[in-house]
Amino acid sequence: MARNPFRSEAEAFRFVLMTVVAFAVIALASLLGGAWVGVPVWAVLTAAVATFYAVRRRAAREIRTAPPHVGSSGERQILVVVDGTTTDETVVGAIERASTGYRKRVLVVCPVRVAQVDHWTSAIDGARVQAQRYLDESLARLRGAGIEARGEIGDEDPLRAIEDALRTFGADTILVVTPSEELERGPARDVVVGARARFALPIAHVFVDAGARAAAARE
Amino acid sequence: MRLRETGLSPQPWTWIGSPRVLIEHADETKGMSLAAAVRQAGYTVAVCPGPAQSERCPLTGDEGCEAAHGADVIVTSLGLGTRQSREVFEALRTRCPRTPLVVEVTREETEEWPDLLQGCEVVISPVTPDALVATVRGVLAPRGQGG
Repeated sequence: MARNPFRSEAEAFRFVLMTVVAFAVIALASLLGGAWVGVPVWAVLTAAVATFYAVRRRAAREIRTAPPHVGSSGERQILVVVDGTTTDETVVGAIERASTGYRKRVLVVCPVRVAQVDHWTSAIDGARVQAQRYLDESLARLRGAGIEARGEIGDEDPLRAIEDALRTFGADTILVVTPSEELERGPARDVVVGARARFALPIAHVFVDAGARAAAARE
Repeated sequence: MRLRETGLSPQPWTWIGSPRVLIEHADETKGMSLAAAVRQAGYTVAVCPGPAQSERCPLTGDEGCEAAHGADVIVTSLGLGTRQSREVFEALRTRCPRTPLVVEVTREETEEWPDLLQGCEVVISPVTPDALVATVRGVLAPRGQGG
């Protein structure tokens, strides 16, 4: 999650001070060694400042929050965020494990993933239809496995979709479901890392083998 | 498709309607375990790992800490063993003077820093989740927020 490096006057002042000092050093280097000496000095200082802020950002530790438990003490609320795929038996197993010994309530949320180009043209209907299809299929599969769940489509940003769902659902566990081919791709990882940095809840990443399922469906 | 960088609510207490308990614990697993028990008891929770070694807690600087300022109870398990942790503790006391402060410390720390701990609800480390929930209920009860 992004952390604004200039959240306070003190941080902005520090940045201005660093800039003034850096330009003073560049000017001094140019005066002493000629105009071209200033260029590598500028490059080194710019790299140093960029590194400084990158390290600070990485070191920033997040405060995680969570809403109160909703329902009786014998219930477990499970939020299943299905991102770019549908649920399968792996998800059923994860839900059963997360609710062992409790009555379970399950909410499935499918974020409406809108491509950048569709944003520019406001052509988001296709993404909504796709998300609704994922949702309908996911709910049907869960029902087929004996799990009663309700569902909704959510914000295109999965983290915001989670936050929205938590406002009314108060989950005890979050399952983030992504296709297995996204195992090493950034977006799926970003959602899980972002959710773990933001929410004080157990969060599991569940991969479904969408490719294998599609192949089976074709046969 | 990328995540929007500004997609989330910037303030820490997103969920309103129930008392807010900030838990400061350097150990992620223990902090989450305490948070889970406090959630189950009906409270909104925030978990802060405290400042890393090279960091400064924003509460000790100009910017302050929205999580601390917005909490109904603060539970700090950062200890008093280092100067950094004592700075955070002192900042909690001076900048959030009306917020009940539950402090998890060792017996040795209670003997070493009695003045610092005066007026706080002290629990001896390691506190169990159930004991912490009972303590939080106890400090909120006079305010009608005991849960």
